[in-house]
Amino acid sequence: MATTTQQAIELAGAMIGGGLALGGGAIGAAVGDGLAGSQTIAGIARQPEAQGRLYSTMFLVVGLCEAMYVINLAFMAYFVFVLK
Amino acid sequence: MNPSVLAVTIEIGRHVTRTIFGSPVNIDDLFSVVLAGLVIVALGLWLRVKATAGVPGKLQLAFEAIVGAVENQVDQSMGSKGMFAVPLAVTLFLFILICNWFEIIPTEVPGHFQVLPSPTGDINLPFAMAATVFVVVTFTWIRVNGFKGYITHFAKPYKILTPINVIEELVKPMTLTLRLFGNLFASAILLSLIAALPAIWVLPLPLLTVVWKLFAGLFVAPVQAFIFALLTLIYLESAVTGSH
Repeated sequence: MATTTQQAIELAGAMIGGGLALGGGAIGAAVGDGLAGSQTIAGIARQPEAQGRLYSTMFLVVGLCEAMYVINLAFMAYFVFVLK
Repeated sequence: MNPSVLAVTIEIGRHVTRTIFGSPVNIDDLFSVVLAGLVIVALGLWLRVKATAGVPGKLQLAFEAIVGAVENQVDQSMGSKGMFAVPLAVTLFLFILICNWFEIIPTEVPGHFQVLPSPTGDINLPFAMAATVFVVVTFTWIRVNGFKGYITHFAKPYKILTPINVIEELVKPMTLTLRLFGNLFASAILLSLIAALPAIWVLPLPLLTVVWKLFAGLFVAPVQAFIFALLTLIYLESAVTGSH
């Protein structure tokens, strides 16, 4: 049976690891979404009638970028709630 | 979750389980899945009664829009030999969409037990769907290109990339699962968090839950369903055309 100090260290490590995973994931997802959005705006500015096609591609890319963040979120939940 | 910040303690990932044939089954997700299936079948049967070659009603317009969009996508990428993928993609899209929409319906009994949870918020349903898609894609590879063609396609652009291609093929069901599951799981947790914040600190509390439910229901749910179906079509396209 682990001592209280060891449990505290493991919990602290899990929390810090989860925080790092969430932070890095949020930065990556936001940068990816911003790039997708900026290219969509540039495309619409160039050709306003392509708006529908550009929108659906933008939503596809946004969904894929958010997926990376969400996978990080799943690992954070695993660290904090299972590996503590 | 820490009870000193929140008004109530949130439990996450708790399901009502029963044991069927010796293995545990999450019964609440099973009920939601059966209900979602019944809703879709009922919509389909109602459409069959109401479908007309004249002026279409709203339900027929909606179904025609979805099936037409999927058929256009398949036609652009695979041509006519990809038409077997259209029912699969439409079913995946509609089923995942309705399962995701269960999160918005408040069916929680105040003993922390949700009668109809969102079944895509449990890891089992997305993994089952991703495994099914993986099996369909592998069998399509083997059916179109032969077993030898399936094995040699891993070495296709450059032989040195073979381990990377193998890992990519094995990781595809995992990313499909985790993307769908993680988005819905995180939405459910955030909904509980927003609802559990002490009302004295955050005054417009029902407004925040409504805003979050709008975002989750109108943006996250359709986008995740669309991405799952579209990625299925993309994987099947690379299988049918034999290219990477």
